[in-house]
Amino acid sequence: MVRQWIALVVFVHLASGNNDISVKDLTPSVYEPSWTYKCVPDEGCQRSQSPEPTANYTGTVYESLDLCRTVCGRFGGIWPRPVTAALSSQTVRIHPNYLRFDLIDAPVETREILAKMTQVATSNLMDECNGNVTDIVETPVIVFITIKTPNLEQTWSTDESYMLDVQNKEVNVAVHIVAETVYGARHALETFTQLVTADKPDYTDQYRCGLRLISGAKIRDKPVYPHRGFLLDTSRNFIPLEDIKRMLDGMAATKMNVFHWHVTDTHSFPLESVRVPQFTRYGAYSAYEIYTTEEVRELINYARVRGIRVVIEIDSPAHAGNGWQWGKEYGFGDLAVCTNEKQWRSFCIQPPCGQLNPANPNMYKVLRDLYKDIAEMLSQPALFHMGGDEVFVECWNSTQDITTYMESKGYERNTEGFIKLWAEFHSTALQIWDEELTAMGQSEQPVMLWSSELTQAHRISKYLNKDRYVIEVWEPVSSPLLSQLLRLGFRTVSVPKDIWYLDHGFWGITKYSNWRRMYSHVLPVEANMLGGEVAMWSEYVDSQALDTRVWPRAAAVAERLWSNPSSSANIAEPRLQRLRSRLAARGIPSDVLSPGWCAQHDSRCL
Amino acid sequence: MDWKTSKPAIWSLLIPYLLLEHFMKTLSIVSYISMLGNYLNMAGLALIIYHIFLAPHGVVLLASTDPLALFFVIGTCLFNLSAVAVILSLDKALKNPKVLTQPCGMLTVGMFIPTVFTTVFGVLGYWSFGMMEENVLRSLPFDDYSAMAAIGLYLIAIAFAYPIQCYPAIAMIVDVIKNWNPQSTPSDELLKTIETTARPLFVMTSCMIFFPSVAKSNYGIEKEYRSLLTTNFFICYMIPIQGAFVAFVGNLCTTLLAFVFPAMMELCILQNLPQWTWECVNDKCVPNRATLDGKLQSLMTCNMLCASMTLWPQPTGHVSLSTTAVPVRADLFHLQILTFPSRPVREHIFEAFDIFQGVLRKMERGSRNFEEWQAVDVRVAVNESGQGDPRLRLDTDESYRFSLRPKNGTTRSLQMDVYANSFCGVRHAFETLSQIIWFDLYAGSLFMLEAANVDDVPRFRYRGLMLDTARNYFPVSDLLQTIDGMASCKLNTFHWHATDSQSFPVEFDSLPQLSRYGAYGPGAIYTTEDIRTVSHYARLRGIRVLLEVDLPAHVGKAWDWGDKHSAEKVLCLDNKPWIEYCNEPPCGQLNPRNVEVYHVMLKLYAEIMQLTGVDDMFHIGNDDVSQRCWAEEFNTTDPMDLWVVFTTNALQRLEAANGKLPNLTIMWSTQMSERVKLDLKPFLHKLGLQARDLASTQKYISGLRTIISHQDAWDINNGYSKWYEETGSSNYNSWQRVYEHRPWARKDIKYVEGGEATVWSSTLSTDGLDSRVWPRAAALAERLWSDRAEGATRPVHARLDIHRLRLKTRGIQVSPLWSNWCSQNPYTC
Repeated sequence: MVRQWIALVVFVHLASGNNDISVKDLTPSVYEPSWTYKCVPDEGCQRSQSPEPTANYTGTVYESLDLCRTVCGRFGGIWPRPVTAALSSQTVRIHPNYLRFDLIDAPVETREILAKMTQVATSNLMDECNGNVTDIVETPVIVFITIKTPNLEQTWSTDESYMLDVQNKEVNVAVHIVAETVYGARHALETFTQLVTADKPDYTDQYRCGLRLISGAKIRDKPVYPHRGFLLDTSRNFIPLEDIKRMLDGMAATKMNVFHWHVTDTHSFPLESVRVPQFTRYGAYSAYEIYTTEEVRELINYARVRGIRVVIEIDSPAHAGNGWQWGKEYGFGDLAVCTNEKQWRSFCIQPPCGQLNPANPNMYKVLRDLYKDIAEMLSQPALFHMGGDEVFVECWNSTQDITTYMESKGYERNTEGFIKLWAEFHSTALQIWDEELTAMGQSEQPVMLWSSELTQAHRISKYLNKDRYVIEVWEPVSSPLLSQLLRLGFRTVSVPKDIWYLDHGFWGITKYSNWRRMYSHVLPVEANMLGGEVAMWSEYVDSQALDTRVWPRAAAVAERLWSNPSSSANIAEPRLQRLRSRLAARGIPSDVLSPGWCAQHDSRCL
Repeated sequence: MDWKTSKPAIWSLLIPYLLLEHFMKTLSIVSYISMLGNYLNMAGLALIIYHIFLAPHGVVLLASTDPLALFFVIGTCLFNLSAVAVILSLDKALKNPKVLTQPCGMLTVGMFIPTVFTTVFGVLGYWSFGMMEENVLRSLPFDDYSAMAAIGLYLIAIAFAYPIQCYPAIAMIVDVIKNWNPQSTPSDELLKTIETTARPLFVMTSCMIFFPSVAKSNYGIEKEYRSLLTTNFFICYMIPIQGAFVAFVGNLCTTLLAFVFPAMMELCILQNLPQWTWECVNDKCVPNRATLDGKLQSLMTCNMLCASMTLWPQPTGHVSLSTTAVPVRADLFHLQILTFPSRPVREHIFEAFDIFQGVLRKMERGSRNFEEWQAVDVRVAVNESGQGDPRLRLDTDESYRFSLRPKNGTTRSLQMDVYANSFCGVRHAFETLSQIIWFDLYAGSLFMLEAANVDDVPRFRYRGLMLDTARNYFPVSDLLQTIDGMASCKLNTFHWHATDSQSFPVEFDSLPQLSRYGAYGPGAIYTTEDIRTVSHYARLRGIRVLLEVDLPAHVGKAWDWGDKHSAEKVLCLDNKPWIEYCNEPPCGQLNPRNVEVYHVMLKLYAEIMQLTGVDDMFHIGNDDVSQRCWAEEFNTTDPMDLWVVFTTNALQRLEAANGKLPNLTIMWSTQMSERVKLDLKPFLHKLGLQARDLASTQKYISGLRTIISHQDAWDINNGYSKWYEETGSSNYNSWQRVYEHRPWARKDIKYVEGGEATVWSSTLSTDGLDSRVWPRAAALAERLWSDRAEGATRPVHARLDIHRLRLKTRGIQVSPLWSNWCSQNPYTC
C-alpha cells in the first residue's frame, strides 16, 4: 500500500516535468528496494532485473542471497567442497530450540568432547541470525550421531571421513551422521551447519530472522590431505588469545585441522615456561603480552573441540634471541649469540639477530626444561615443530666459543663444518625431546622441521632420518626441493612462500596472492605428501589487521587441501561468497572478494 | 592516667598526626607510613596478647552464654566490609586492578587474614575482659607500663594506618571541587587552601569519633561510598549497642587490613612489574630490564621526550619542543577566545575544542592515578579580518602558530596562545596540541610537553583522501572514522566517490529514484541526513566533503527508470562482453543526447552542493568514458565530440545550479583530456584535472590545474590484484612508496593544487577498511602538508610509528609498520 502510494508520488513528480532547481524537502522516502534472487542453472544466483515487487518472475525467488546460494549449485553453500553431495533445492524452517542431538551410538569415551562439538554447532547456527532466531517453528530436528571408534587421538592417520544424510519426514527432520572418529563427526556437524542459512534480506537492518535447512541431503566426504594447516606467528607482533581463538573458529569453519603456532622467534618469547620463567621475563614485549601455561592448555582444548591439532613451534637454532639473553646474568654463559646485534645485516636476515649457542651445554639443559613444559602442554600424541630454518653461518662463525668448540670436535670452519654443527644441534634436540616424551610414557613421535640448507636433497639423508622428521618445505613453487624430498621418501608439508604466504605483497618485491591464486595451486597427491599450510607471518599484522589479511584467502587453501578439486576458482566463487558471509556471521571479518554487484550477479563479472 | 581526659596526650598524638596528614600527598608516602604504623601495631598487639594470656584481669565469662555473641560476628563482618571501601578507592592505583578480584586476589587474602585473626583474637579478648566497660584497651591495667605501652602503641598505630583511608577521600574532594565548573576553575591558591584545611578538618572530625571510641576511626571515609551507606548506618547503629567489644574487633580488622594492604600492594605491583623501561641514549630510546627500585619510563614517554620531533605531519615553520613533561587531564583544558572574525567561527572553535577534549578523554580512559594535574589555559586569537566563514574554502589560510609555556607565577598551570587566520588554522593548532599529549601506561595518566612553539603552514592546499562507497557499501560510522583519521594528520578533503555503475547508495530528495534503483539494498543507502551529518562532522575538523557522482560513464541501474520515452537515459546497460564496453562490469554510460539526463543532473548538482555546503569546489567525475559504447549507439565516428557536448552541458548545469562555476571544478583525467584545452576554453581557468598516471599528467594537462593521485604511488588498493584475475601486475604501494612520491619535483608539472590517495573498493569492504588505509594515508598527509625533501628515513619511520599509536588510541585499526620489537627498539630496524 505504502509502496504504491510512493510510486504514485514519484510518478506525479516525474510527469510534472519539474525543472526548477530548488530542492524540495519531500517527506523522507520510505521505500525498500526489494531485490530478489533467482537460481539460474550454470550461472548461479542472479539479482532480479528491477527492485519493483511486481516484477514478473517465474520459478522460485529468494529474498536472501545467502539462501539462494545454499540451494543453488551442486554443492550449495558448503565450503570446502565435499566429495559427493546430493542436495534438495527445498528448505525447511527450523529453530535451534528444537534441535536435538542423539549420541547413543557414539562410544562413551567420545561423548564428552562430542557434546561440546554439538554445542559449537548450535551456537554457529544461532550466529547465522546474530544470536537471535525470531522465527519460531516447532519442527523437531534430530541429529543421530554414530561413531565407530572411541579413539580420540589426533594424528596424520586419523580418519576424518563422514557421511551425512538429511531426511525431511512428515513430523520431523532426521539428520544421520556416521563417522569413523569423533573428528569426522565434527566435520559432519560443520557441514550440517552449512546446510542451514538465515532467511533475511541482505543489506537491511531488519530484526526478523529465521533459519532454513536444506530438506534433503546425502553427503559423503573425506579429506584428500591429512595435514591442512594454518601458521600463525605470534612473535613479531603479539596476537592476543581471543584473536587466535577467532582464527581457530575460522579454521573449524573450513575444516582445517592443524594450527601451527610459530610462537617464538628472535623478536620475542611470549610463551610462558613454568620451569624457565626467564623466557618470558626477558623475552616478552610486556607483562600483558604473554601466553600463560593455563591459557595454552585452554587453547589446545579449544582447538581440539574444533577438530584442530595444535603444533607448537620453538624455532631453533636460528630465530632465537630475545628470551635467551639472560644466560650470562645467571651464570649459564651465552645461551644465544649475536642477540640483538646492531649491525644486523652481517649476522642474520632480519633484525633482531639471535641464534642458539650449540657450544654451551647449559643451553641444552635450558632447552630440556622448555621441552618438558611443552610436552606437558601438548595433547598426546604430541606433535612438535623444531623450526630449524635460516641458520646464518656468519653468526656462529663470529663467536669464539663456537669456533673453539668446532675445532675440538674436528669440524672444519667451512659450510660443511657448520652444517655438521647444525645437524648435531638437531640430533641432540631430538634426543632430548624423545627422552622427555618417554619419561611421560609416550612413544617416540616424528617432529617437524623447516626446509633449509640442511635439508638440501644432496645433504639431508646424511643428517636427518626420514622416519623421524617431517619436512615443511617453504621454497617457492619453482624449487625442485619438494619433489626431491618426496622421492627420497621424506614426509613433507608444503607452504610455497610465493603463493601461500599471506604476508607477501606487503614488503620488498614480494607479490600479493589473491584467493584465486592460492586456490589454483595444486600439490602432488601421494602418501608422503601430508598436506600444506597457509602462513601468516606477523611483521605487518597484529590484532588490528589480522582477520582481513587471513580470510578469505586461507579458506581457499583449506578447500585445496580438503577436496583438491580439479575445477577452477571461478566455479568455487559463489560458495566462497557464501562462506564469507558465514564467517561474518560468526564474528570473523574477512575481505570482500569482489564489488557487491558481482556478488549479487554470480559469474557476470568474469 | 587516662587517655580520654589527658589533653596533652591527645595533642601529642594529634599534632604529629595532623602534620602527617598534611604531607600525605602521594601514594608512596602513604604506603610507607602505613607500613610503619603496622609495625607499631604488631608490637602493640603482641603486648595485648601478653596481657590476655599471662596477666589476666577481670571476670572470666563464657561467650556462648551471651546471645549478643551473634552480633559480634556480624559486627566483625561489617567492619571488614568497611575496610573494603578503603581498598576500593585504592585499586585505581594498582597497575592491574584485576588482581583485586581474582580467586586468590587481594580482596580474598586481605579479608581472610584479618577476619580469622580478629575473630580469634576478639573471642579471646571477650573471654578475658568481656564484662569491663567500653573497651578492651581500657580494661588493661593502668598501673602496668607494658599495658600502657600497648595502649599507646596501638593508638599510634591506628593513627599511622589511618591516613591511608583519608588519602583517597581528600584527593577526591579536591578533585570534585576542581572540576565542579570546568569553565571557571578555582585558582590554585584556593585549591591549596581547601586542601590544607580539608585534611586537618577531616582528621579532626574523625578524631572526635576516633577518641571517644577508638573504633569509629573509619567513619569519615565511608561517606564516599554510597553503596556502603547502609552498611555504614548499620555500623553506627550497632556501635553504641555493642559497645566495646564490637568496636574493638572491628577496629582491629581495619588496622590489620591496613597492615596487610601495603604488603599486598607491593606484591601486586611486583607481580605485574613492567618488564622494560626505556632510557634516552643519544636521542634514541633504549630498552632496559625494569627493576623495582630503578626509574620506570614507558616507551611512549621516552619517545616523546627523547626525540626532537614527534609531530605528524611535521610543521613547515619553526618548531621548538621542550623535553620535560607535566601531567594533564582533559577536563583541565580551558578555552578562551580573544578575537574572532565572526560568530560562526567562534562557535566552530568551541566545537572543535570539544572534539579536542574528546580525543584526550579517549586517551585517558585507562587513567588510574591521582596526579598533580596541571590546568591549561588555551587562548585563541583569530585575526579579526581573517576569514569569517568557518568552512574550508579554496583560499582558506590554514596556517597557525602557537606557543605553550608555564603560566607566570604559578607552578600548577600552563598557558597556550594560538594565532590563526581562520577556523581551520585554529583547528589544526588543536590537532598539533593533541600530538604533544600522550598517555603514559606506567604512570596511568596523560602527559603533555611543558613548553612548545610551533609555526606551521601547509605546502599544498588540496590534501585529499578518496573513498569509493559504490563498489562496496561502507556504513556511515566508517566514513566518520575515516574522517577522524584524516583530521589527525590534517588531510583536508574527503573525496567521496559515492556512486558508480555497481551501485548508487546516495539518496537525493529531489531524485529518490536513483538510490531506489541503484542501491544494493535498503540498508545500503546514505540518506540526506547522513550526508549532512558527514559534512558537518568533517567541517568541524577542517575537512571539506567533495561528493562525486561520476558521470557520464560509471553509471548503472540507478538511471534505468522513468517512462519509455524519457528512459534511454543510460546506454550500454549491462552490455556483454563487458570488456568491450567498459573497464569493469556492469557497463553503463549516460546518453549525451537525452535532454532528460541534463535535467536530472541539474537537480543532482544543486542538491549535492546544498547538502555538503561546499560550493567553491566540485567533482564531476567524467572518468573512463567508453568511446565504443557511444560510437555504436549513435553510429558516429568521433565519440569525442559527444564527450565535449556532454561535458559542456554538465559544466553549464553546474553553473546554473550554483550561480557560477565553482572555482575548482575537477574531473578525472583520461585520454579525453586532450580535448580540454581546445574545446572547453571558456571554463578552462576553473577546471582541475585529477591525474592518475605520470604519463597523462605530463601529456595532457601540463599547464592545467592538477590534482595528483598517481596509481603507482597513491592508490591504496593497488597491489591487491583485480578480483577476477589470478595474478595482478600492479605493485602494492607501501607507505614508504607513498611517502617518497614527489612528482612535482619534475619541471614539467606545474599548477599542482595538491594530491589525493584513492581508496577503490572492488576488493575492500568495511571489514578491512581501516587497516588498508592507515597508516599509508598518513604518509601521504605528511608529503602534502610538509613536503620534506627527506625520504622514508629512520627518523620518519620512528615518527610514523608514534603517529600510528595516536591513530590506534583514536579507535582506528591501523596496520603495524613492522614487528613490535622494532617499535620497542627505535632506530635499530
